[in-house]
Amino acid sequence: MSDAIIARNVAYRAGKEFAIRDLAMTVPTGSVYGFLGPNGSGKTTTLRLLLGMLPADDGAITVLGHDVPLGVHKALAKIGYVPERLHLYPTLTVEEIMRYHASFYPDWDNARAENLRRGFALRAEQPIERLSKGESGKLMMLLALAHNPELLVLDEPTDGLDPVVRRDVLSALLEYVSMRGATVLISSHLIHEQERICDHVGVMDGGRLVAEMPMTTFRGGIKRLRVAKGPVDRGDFPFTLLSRGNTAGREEEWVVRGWQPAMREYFHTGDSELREVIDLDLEESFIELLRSARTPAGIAAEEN
Amino acid sequence: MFERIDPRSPTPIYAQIAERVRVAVAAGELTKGDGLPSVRALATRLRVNPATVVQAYRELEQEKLVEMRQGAGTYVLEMPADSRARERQAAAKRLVRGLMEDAARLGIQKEDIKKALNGELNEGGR
Amino acid sequence: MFRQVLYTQWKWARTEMFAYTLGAFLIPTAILKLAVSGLDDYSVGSMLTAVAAAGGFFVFLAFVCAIGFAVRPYLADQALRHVYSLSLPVPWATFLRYRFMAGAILLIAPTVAVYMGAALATMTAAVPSTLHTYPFGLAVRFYLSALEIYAATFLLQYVTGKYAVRVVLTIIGVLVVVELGGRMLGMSDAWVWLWDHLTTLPGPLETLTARWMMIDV
Repeated sequence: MSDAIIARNVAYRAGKEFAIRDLAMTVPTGSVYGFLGPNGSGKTTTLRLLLGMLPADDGAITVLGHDVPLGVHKALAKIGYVPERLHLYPTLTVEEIMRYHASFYPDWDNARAENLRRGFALRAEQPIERLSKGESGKLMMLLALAHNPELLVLDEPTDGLDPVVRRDVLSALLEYVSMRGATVLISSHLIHEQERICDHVGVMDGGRLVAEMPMTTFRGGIKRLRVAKGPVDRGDFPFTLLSRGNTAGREEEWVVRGWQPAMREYFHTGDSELREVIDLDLEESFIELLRSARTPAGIAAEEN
Repeated sequence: MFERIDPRSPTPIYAQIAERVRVAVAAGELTKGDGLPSVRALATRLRVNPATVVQAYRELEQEKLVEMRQGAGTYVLEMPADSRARERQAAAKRLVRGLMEDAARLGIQKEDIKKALNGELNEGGR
Repeated sequence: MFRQVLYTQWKWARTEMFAYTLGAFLIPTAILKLAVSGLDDYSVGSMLTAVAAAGGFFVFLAFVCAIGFAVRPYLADQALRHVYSLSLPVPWATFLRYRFMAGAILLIAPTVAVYMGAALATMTAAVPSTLHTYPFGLAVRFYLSALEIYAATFLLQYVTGKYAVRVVLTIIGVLVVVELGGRMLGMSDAWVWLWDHLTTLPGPLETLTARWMMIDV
């Protein structure tokens, strides 16, 4: 099964500076791909480039087997998109927008759409401008799911929503994914949410994708070590040292990448003592990764 | 049974789910023929990736604890009484191992642990 | 797809459409009555002058309808940065075609109202026996002119987009340059001369400036 989204060498310029450059991204079919990155790193721009809404200045993009932007409208028939901000006409009612949307998608499932509408407690005759933020979020998810898409592209779908609505939106999404086996590309800075549902991770920073791998590799790969009397760096660490600092007394805290349990042996030489190996959760891994990606030592490590 | 699954824990989510089921079966809360929630229902309820639930159920199936019936759901298999006892003992061992790892990290000696344990057990009267 | 585009554009234009239709129906009668009541004599010549004066209303209405129907859907999309339209599974050119056709169809309503309004006006006026009434011809001219203005506005928006204002200012700038250039060459109103030449040539601009006569020879 070929990948749902493939991007190579994509570059995009907004104004004088390059907003996106050397972007290489692969979203495997059937995966739930979490797109992480700080604000301003270019996540929304990347999603717009992938869907052909912005013209790339360089590179090749393929979505669901179709070239972007040449054949993108064929792919769009099978894609459910939830943008960052409400993108629907404010003076139309819920019912009217559903009919409008349905007319463009041959695979629209009216029964599912109605079920979702009732499940989300959206009144058919309510104008969109009078919907609360939570209700608009639910409506956008409804429109994205009701036409049986193969791929879902979601840009901060739960941002700013209260916990109850967030749960409703995520449940609807996961129920659909379980049933359909669709691919999901979800960009969000709510890392703890991404941690539950994503099995792949792509980290964006400064217009580049700095890391892309399965979730287990990402989380398992970075560890924090509590070291007493740490050995001098002779350049032969079996792991990649991302950072090293003093905590209290002679104790240091090291953050390393590529740790294996057998590497404990390394600390048995001389005075040093490895007191503890700490797992990092997704948020901490992400922060450490960014920190190292931005320092020269980290960049050197990147290139290994 | 599946409350407070912790995605941040170093234990992968699928392992946490599988463990809950194992413990429930060992305690007799789940018996032969009981149905586990469908993959779809559990993934939706816990708001986790459905593949995670599938992985948990497959692991349990390999241990012969449950049976995944195509299109009909996942059901608990017969677990003989002695297996249940063994499972409870294994669960107890896992608890104690975790306790000892924590103790080692804090530099607490085995003697102190034993004293504390006996004290708690006597007080609880269980 | 097209039906829904037409429906939404109609819904957005509902109120104006009602106003235009009502106006097109009632105003010609009122204007004609007003123009005729101000005449000293009832000669054919004076009648024609009065009717020519009333004709200005139709040009005005054509502009208002055409620009209104062109601009409103564009603004609706622009407010949303066109994200929704771009995310729909139709090629952009197809989508623009739908928008254009929808507006062109909506223009039929005020056209029909113009026909009925002109017919009503000419029926209630005392038409000298040597003159004839042309409500149908007027309505056809109305539709064609409105369609021209609509197409021009539509193209201007979508081709230049956010630069539309700059484009309009450039055109005004060009006219100013032409005027100044004319003055330097000794011509007193160069841009009027240019305009006259452009509009008297047979073609699109002529329909706008020629006389709009409900009643004529």
